[in-house]
Amino acid sequence: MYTPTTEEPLLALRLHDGQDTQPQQIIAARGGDQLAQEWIAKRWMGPVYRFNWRMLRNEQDAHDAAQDTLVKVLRKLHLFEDGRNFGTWVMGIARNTCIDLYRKRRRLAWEEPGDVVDLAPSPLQEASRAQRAVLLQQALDKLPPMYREILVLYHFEHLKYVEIAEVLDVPLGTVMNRIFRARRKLRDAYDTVGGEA
Amino acid sequence: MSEHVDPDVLQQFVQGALAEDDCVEVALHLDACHHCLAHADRMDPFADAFRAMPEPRIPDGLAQAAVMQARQAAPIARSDVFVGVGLLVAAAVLLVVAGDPLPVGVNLGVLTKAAWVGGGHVLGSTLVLGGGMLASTALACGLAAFAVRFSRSGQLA
Repeated sequence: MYTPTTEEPLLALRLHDGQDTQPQQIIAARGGDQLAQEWIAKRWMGPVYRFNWRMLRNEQDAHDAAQDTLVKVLRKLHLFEDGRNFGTWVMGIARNTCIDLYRKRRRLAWEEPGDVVDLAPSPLQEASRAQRAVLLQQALDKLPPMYREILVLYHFEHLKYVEIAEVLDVPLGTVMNRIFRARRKLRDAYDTVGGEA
Repeated sequence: MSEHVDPDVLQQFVQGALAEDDCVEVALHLDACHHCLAHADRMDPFADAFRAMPEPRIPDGLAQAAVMQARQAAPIARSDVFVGVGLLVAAAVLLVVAGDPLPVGVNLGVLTKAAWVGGGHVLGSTLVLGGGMLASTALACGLAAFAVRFSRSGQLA
């Protein structure tokens, strides 16, 4: 551990967009208040849709999964335990819905075991930012879903590590192990698509 | 000023070279410290490319459609139908097997209860639950009447 000598500018890396859902809104929505239900649906549709879109890579599937997720959220509000993190609860439902649809559409296992590849320097570090974004998307698409989801939750939805553990319902150590494997696989896939480009 | 993670340790963390216990400790620190998080972000070769990736457009009216669908009656779960039918069958079997030796009042009570719960499961949704219970009770009464006649005919024989 060290103590910095100068203040460094902070990056807004983990800002959760929008407002948090308040307990009163959850209680009102549970009681059938349509306005409260609409508020919850609108507040959480963004993260839920983006997650599904990045995982399923198909607009129609993302649309169906996002709508299904919010329907489940609204119908299962009575199961939400007060005091828990509402956002991770919603994202957990989104993930389960996404897994169901993924298996149905592709008949593939979500948890595909993979080897850890060597960390090699990328040959494309000098490529432009936009080019690298395109290659990164292609590399992400090549990852098994269990690795892609953890990168999506971290890099796009800016969840904290403990929040990712809640969404995936695994210990924090497992999250860390999986995220490092995911990064190594991503680098490997990135180098592969970069070599093909 | 709070303590921060040593840059060398942070570099190992980003590269996945730290032991698991240390990783968890650093992760918990990063969850609470924007300074170290920003530092780790600068060490991540992909962080900038992640930020450059396009965002999907959320379809208009999707949230509204989810609310409308959620407010409609939930479809009846197949498992509820199986449980309900099972309870009704169990009630009928109880009537036939144990009807004779038990007092009619006991038969009627057990049967009505089973049919009540069973009917609720079969019909599922809240809106029709009352109707289902009434129908189940009527069925239970009919079967109970049959039980009374059956037991009386047994006694007469």
